[in-house]
Amino acid sequence: MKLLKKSIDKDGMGFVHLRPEEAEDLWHIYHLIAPGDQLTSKTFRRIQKENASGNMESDRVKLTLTIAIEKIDFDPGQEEMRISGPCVSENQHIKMGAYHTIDLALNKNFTVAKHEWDSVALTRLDEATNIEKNADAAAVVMNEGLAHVCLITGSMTILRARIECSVPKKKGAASLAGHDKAILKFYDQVVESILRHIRFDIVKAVIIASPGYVRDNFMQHMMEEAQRKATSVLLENKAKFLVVHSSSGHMHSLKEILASPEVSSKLADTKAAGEVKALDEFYATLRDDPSRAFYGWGHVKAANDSKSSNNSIARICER
Amino acid sequence: MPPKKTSSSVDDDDFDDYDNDGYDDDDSEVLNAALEEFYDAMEDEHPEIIFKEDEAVTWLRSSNYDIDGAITLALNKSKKSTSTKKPAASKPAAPSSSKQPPSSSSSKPTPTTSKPSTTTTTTTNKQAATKNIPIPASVSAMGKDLCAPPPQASPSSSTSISSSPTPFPTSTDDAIKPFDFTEPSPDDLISEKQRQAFSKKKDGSTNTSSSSSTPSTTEGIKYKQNVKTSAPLPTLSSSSAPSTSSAKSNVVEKMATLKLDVAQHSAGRRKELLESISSSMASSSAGKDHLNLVVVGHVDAGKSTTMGHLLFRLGQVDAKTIAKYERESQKRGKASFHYAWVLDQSETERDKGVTIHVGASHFSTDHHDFTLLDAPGHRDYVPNMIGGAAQADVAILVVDGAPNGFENGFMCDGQTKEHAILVRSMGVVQIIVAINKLDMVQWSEERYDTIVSEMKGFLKQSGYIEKNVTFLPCDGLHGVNLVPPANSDGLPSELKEWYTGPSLAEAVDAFRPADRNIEKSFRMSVVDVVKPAQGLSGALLVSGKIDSGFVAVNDKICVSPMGHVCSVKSIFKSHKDNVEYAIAGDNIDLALVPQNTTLDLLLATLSSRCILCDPAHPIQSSSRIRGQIVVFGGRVPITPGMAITFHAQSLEEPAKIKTLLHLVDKATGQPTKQKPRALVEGHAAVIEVVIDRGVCLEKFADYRGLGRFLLRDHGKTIAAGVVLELL
Repeated sequence: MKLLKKSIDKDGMGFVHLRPEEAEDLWHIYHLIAPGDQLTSKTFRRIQKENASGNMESDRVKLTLTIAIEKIDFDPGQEEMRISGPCVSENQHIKMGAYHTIDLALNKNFTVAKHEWDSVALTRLDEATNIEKNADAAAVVMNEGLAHVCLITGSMTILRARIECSVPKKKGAASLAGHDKAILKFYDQVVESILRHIRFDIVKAVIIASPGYVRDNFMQHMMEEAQRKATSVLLENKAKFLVVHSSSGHMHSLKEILASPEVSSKLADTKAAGEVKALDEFYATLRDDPSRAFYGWGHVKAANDSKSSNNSIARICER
Repeated sequence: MPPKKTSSSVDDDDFDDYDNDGYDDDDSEVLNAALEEFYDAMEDEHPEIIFKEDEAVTWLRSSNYDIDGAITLALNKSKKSTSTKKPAASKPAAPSSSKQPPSSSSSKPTPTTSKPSTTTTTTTNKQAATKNIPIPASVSAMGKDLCAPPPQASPSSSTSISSSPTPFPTSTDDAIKPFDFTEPSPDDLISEKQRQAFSKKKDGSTNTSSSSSTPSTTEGIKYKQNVKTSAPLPTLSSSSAPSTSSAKSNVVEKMATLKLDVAQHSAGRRKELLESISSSMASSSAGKDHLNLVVVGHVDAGKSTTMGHLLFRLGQVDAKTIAKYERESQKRGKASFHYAWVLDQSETERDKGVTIHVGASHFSTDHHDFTLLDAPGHRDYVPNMIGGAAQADVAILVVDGAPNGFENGFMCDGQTKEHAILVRSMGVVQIIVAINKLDMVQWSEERYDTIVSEMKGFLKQSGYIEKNVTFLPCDGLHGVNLVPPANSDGLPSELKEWYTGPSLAEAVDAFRPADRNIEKSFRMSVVDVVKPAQGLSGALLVSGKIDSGFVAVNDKICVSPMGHVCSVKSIFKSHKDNVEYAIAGDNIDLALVPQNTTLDLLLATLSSRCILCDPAHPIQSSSRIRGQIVVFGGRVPITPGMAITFHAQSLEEPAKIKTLLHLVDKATGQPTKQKPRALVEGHAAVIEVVIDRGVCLEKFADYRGLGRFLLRDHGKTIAAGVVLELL
């Protein structure tokens, strides 16, 4: 994310002018802004006007609007965020207080004003605008007949493709051929998906994770195919592939993959790994000493109010 | 309740007519009261007679509101109509049919005291006169009947009725009238006919009779509207079924389930099949019944080798094949794996010497036919093993008796414990513990006893009853104590000294038969789908275990949750024997021919998520369930929002813990603590789970096999449960 202008006075009041450039930036924005903040951006609005003949005419007008944020709608996969709230700036087309929804997209500048930029927001802002990129990695979590191709950025995971096909299991020699054929077809689909979704010039590592022997068989097949078809991008980046164990082929296995030492040592410290660690700590406390572990807004607030909280209490709010 | 518009207009017309003739202004009130009473009387005394409201009005008027007289008229009419063989019930779909009351008017609250006293005065003399009235015979005769000579009792009214061309506007055929949506539209008629064409194959239980087969969903809804209004003049109905209430219940039932108007087989066929099943079961009660046997245990305990060797000893595999496997396995440097190759057939499995998929094989003992399910022991393949255990009725737990072998499997992260618990959680109660590789400790009795006592304590704790657990020593690789000594080389002298119990084959033979749900609707969970190589073009080969009910060749079955209907081309038991039918508990391959989809689509969608079921009573898919679980403890406590993997049958789906409702006292089953914050090892609780995609499950109370599930996280089973409710 590019920081275009920053004006925060010493009381913490002020605004920043930002331009999101990657999907991850939207994730940061999602965490940066909160209801009550003011958002200014260019936007379109349909304006109804009465023309000379007395008919109603609707016009799409490009405006620069400021709204007081009330609702934030964000789907990490969609690379778009919708923010709505009442309009707080004077405008010839739209009344003050009329509701409007601003779409934030990549490469669209906007300004966020807060009454108070606290340390959390400022840290987030620093992190988001830091040009030194965190490790970008891709991961393929797979099992027989099921694969998830996803991108791992510093703070989020984006599922790019889900491949599922039915692979016959073993039942006599006749269907064994069917099994092998189906599994090779499945591997080919995964390879195709990797080539389509993973940009090898950006990612530093590609994690191939699966239970059992699937990952090894897949790697072998992929490299053999790359040799045969002379897929240079795969051959050149062979060193980037990292083959690790996972307990299943589902997306949520990624959690344990990122926490495993072989991955975390290879990747620059991703946030996910740290978060997984914190979560594990929390769970350990919850299991061993439930009276010291709290989750949920109410419980955490109560714990905080009673001043009993210290560093050992992991505060995790379920989203 | 305000009367419907049409009926009130009818009354208004009549007012004008009758007014002149000295009728009271409150004629409609009198009429309504009389009508109610008449309906009541008819319902009680002659429920079989079907009539229309305007007919009833005519009868009442002609008998001067005398109920008995009207009933007599109705009786005459019904005689006539049956003789004309044109029951009104046969044509409810005709758009020209005029207003009819629902025949079962019992739902209409009718005060019996509503008979107006004014009418009673003229009862007797009118009654005789009414008998001369021509009786309306059928719907089409309505108009004519209305213009017929009026009853003598009201001669003055005759002119007014006949002079008024349309006293009942809705009953004239040629009048243009707006469609009031109470009658079936042309589209409805077509779909109705299509439905009827389908329902011919249906068994009789859903259709009360041929004449009652007509009430369709739309009519059911109409009926409900009538009940709601419950007007004194319920003119808005074209339903003419003799038992509307039963039709309604049918409709409700149909709407509650998936809409599929296909029956698995006809009623006659079902009866025939049930007879042949029960006769064959009676005859084979002294003979053999079928059991699914799963073999579980820690990786490298020797499951595949032991079972491969058992199959060889029982003659299922010939010596030539074994010799071939021995040669080939030696070539790969896996010399001791040749018996395992009987069950491990894929290249990866043979290369690595590890079972990956559940291998299925078949053998027979004196009392049982077995489907042998050889489950993988490796921790990564526990999901596969669960699929095998879900099909099983009985189990063999193979324990490595070699030095450190038992400890590796039993302690810390070994699979011996996990498998034993999983198998129990999937409903297996009878288990054999085969302590393998005891030759490595020179058949030491002490070693055997130590393992037995350790296992006994653990199994009891896991919910096994002592009498259902059999312990025996064996050596899978060398074939010691697999089959009775008479057939084998005899026991080694060290073992002979202290062991007198059964061999593995004898112990397996001593299993009690399992309970089978043959009476319930057909359910079969899909384990594997293959495109058959040859001979069965246009069909898919689907294998699995029948959970309940039975299936026969030419049956129509439904593939849930997609709702594809397939017909059964053939059924294979034990992979080869072509049979006419298969019952609950059988492990079969079905050749399915898709009916309402293409083969490719079916192949693409048919997976272990699917359940094959009876199309008349299909299984529902749900993505949110309430279940009672027992927590085994995992890496972390169970909290709401936790992402887990949901296992049931052979399916495996990502899911989330939605809410922890309450803890359950294990002894009493009573709820204890509401809304616990987290669940840890040993807790029993009722929780809600949201599964990413809808899965086919049943309540545990209805179908035991389909109501069990397991929750896994990070490659560990954290909880087992049963489905209480599908939400």
